[in-house]
Amino acid sequence: MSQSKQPKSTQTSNFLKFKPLKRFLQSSLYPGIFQWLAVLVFAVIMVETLAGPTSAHDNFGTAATWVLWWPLLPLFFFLFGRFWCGVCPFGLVSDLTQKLFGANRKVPNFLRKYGLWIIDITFIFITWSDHIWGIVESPRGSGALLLLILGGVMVTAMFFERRTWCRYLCFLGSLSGNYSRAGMLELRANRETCKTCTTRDCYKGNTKTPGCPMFEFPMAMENNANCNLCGNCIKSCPHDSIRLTSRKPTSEFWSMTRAHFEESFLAIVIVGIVFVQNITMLDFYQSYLKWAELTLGISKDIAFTIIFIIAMTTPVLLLFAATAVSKRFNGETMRTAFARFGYAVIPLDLAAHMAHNLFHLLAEGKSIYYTFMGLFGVHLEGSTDFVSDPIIQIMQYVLVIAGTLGSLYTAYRIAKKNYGTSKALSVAMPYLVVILLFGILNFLTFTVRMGMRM
Amino acid sequence: MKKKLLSFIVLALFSLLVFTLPALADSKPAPSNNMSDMDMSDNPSSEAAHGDSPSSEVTVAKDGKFQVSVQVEPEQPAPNKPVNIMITVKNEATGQPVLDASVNVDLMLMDKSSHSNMSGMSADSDTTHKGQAKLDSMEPGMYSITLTPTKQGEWNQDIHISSPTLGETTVTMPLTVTKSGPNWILIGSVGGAVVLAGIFAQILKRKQNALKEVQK
Repeated sequence: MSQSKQPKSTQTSNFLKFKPLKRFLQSSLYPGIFQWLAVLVFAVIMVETLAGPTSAHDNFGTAATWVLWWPLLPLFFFLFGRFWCGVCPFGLVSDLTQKLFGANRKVPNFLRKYGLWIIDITFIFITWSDHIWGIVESPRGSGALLLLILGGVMVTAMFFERRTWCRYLCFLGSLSGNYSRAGMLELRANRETCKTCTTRDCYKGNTKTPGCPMFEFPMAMENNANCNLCGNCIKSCPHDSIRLTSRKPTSEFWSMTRAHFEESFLAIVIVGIVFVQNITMLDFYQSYLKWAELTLGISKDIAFTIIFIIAMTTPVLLLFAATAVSKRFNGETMRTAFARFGYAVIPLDLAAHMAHNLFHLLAEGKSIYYTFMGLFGVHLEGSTDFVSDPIIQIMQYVLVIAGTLGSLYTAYRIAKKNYGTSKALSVAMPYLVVILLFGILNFLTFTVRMGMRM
Repeated sequence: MKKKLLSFIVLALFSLLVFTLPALADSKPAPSNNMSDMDMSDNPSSEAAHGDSPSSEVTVAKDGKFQVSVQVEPEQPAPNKPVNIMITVKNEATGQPVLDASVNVDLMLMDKSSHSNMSGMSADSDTTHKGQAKLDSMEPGMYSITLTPTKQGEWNQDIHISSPTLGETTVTMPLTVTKSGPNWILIGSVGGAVVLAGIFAQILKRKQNALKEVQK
């Protein structure tokens, strides 16, 4: 496999050359100031979801989580990489717990090896349970999820070193890892400079700054998946080797040298998750539930589970089918080719995620203000939308088209990089067909008006 | 091979744990009392604008003579908290409010374990509440009554409407009463697990430190 080249952008647009930004990132204020703010808001959300109004309509925790934070998150990943993970309240809780009670043991090999599979399983489960038990539309459900995550973070921090939870167990971290790979911002080290380094403070840490909490060594880092832009390496590097640069969105997918099957699998699982979310909003879904109940005599939960399994497995099977066809031209093993091209669906995942949640943000956005005022006993009435439905729908179409084009281009570039220009189109063609199919299906599902969360 | 098998078992156990844990969470959203199960219901109509809550859910039922709209406030009643039931009665043919009706409401707890009677409802003072709805000045044809369900669970409301001019009808609708407080079992379980993990981590830490000192 070829070594990835140092991107041109690192030579030209290093944001750390902007002194005020560099000083801020090197100061003790960063990321603490954002983290403490996030912890404060998170505390209010926890109390609200666990003990506040039981109706999502009146609950600030539900509004702040599912109408504001969740829709904005993919946009953040696209623009700023995993910056959110650097300021996530769970990260601060993890650091504090570790400082006070941590045994700082090495991460077990099992977690290193199968952490991503655990995340895949958890992600699938949470999507399923949202429909069965209710998480998004139930403040108590949301509170239970947050509480379980908080418990997991604390328990992990008590036993293991650094941010084991964030790196190996956080399902959101894995999602953000995937999405931020399609993003526009990257933090890398100058390899030539790093070759001469003997201290490796960026990984090990020094007396002033701890090492990378995500177990990354910036010199060897070739993707965004595990960099949360915490700024530790910027603070600790004695050679000023770290660069923060912009880049062409999605370029990481065809410049990387190592593809991981689990990561590709998660990418394709997210296609299924978006399908599930959209399918359950279609007219035929209610008719199907009634038909299943009357004809087959099965409960709604079982009927949903059947749809869920179909929606989740179809994209995986389609991608495997594309891989089987493409294999004739590239001579790779199924596993390698699947892993390599699975990343190509991430731009579409990201766009579909944004498009889906754009509706909640723009059609229900004012409920954040209404429910916030409700915390102070002020009861406000009015419409919740910022813009009308047709405008939101147009924006959704634009996003899905952009995502589909991004995925098509990515698949082509992956093929070109790995198999040469002459073979690129024939190798990529089966994937292009499948991605186009995903894009059309997504487009069609957005023609239906979505259900409200609040 | 053994390692792989062990990994598979651990993954399977983890999946099982993940799928059973939320049973503790008791997070099923309380079904909104939008009365879609009314025995004479037509299509329920609900608005999405904020601020209409907690009594935004309105269900319209028609039986040929009466058009009955029912609103409940709060939308998700809690045990021992008064529930205001607002019933608007109209003449279905003319759309005019019916002002001469006598509206009586029977609120009964559905007792799933009881097989003592046909309806499956218990009938003691804790599980049955009755009253006559009074004509409300808020809207023509609106009758309202405040009843206090005493227990958590699925309640049934029988609304008997009798008018000298239009005759009689009965509307039956469900009312779900849920506790609105925090789930202390879940909070306690997570807290307990964290405390236990903390104790265990401290023991490990001490052992590690002792081992280091011995090695020195």
